[in-house]
Amino acid sequence: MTATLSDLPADRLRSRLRRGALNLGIGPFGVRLRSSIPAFGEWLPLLYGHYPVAAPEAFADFQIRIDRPWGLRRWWRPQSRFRFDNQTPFKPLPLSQAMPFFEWGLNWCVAQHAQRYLVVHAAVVARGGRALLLPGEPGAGKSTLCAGLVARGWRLLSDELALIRPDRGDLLPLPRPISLKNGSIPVIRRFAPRSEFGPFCRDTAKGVITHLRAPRISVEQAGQPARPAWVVFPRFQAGAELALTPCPAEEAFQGLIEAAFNYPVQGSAGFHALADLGSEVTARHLRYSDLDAACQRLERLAEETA
Amino acid sequence: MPEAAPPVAQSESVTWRRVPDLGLHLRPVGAMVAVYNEESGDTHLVSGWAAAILERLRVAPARPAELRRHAPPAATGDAGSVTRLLRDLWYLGLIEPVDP
Repeated sequence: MTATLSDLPADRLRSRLRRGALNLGIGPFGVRLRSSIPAFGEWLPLLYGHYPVAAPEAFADFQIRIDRPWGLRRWWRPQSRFRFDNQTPFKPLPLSQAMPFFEWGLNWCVAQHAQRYLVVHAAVVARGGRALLLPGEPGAGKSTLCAGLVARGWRLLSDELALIRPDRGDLLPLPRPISLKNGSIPVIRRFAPRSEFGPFCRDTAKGVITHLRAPRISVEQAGQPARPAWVVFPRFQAGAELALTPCPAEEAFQGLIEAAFNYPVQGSAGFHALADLGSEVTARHLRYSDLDAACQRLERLAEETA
Repeated sequence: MPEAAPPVAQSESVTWRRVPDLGLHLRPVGAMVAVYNEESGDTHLVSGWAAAILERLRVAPARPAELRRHAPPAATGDAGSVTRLLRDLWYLGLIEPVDP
């Protein structure tokens, strides 16, 4: 049986974190983490307690360090810093945002460096081995929809990054905490009252943000790929009537290219993977304001096109 | 596309060919055909008729009149449609005039 983060006693977790010897299995990636920020060590088990832990010397795809910069900022308005392979790709953020900083930074690592996959900016959930992709710009409502569907029993593959294997055309799960912000937070609290959240960070560049813990079952099934079956381009619009309308295959194809972070790097393999996907899936546009109604409509779509 | 095309793109006497060694990949996607150009890394969505012209010019160079003979019924009434398509494909860098 695989050891998980929550199997580690608190003192060993802190020690491993301080030494940079904490290797987490997050989807297909090994992530070696280092941090001496006490609060980060407290939050991590909240969101990643059920993730597998590998031996300290195991190979890691990403070596990430969340620490505090030296100097005056250590004491005055303290900050956190994200480091990846000893580089500092971002400006520091307030110390209270260390946990979301890790989430955003890991997104960046995957989008920039996981070149063996076609990485598409989309939430992905699955039912019975068939995946629903929800591509969308920030604010389109994809994370809210993703959280709603997961609360209704869909398997979480990813909240933010769809990993397509170009040679097989399937989707590899990267189940991670679901990022929620501002108005979507009370919506999900009402919709799924038993959900577990990470820290609530106010005054971020995106407003209030928090992360919803990924379901244990989704993490345990992270090794099981799914076939793309539906692509739905969501658009949250306050007060709008629910509308699920056809999306022509060529439009879906174009939308997926625009949402793919590394399409140019993938060359013809990426082109064929998206052409296959565009031909394989049922594509729709979804305009919604009521989460429950949107989830029900998508489930009906899944049944209609089973 | 610019409205005013250079004379070469409007001439009936020009013989066109597909630009050699581009490494073009064509895939039908819905009602369109997706074209991937390995050399530039560009992806285009073109009509089925434009894709058929690309295929035809891969086999052998041709003039607009020859291509027009194979036009789908919807395009046969519009004598300028082939010229416009050739101009567009030329702007995309997929075809080129054959030197006389």
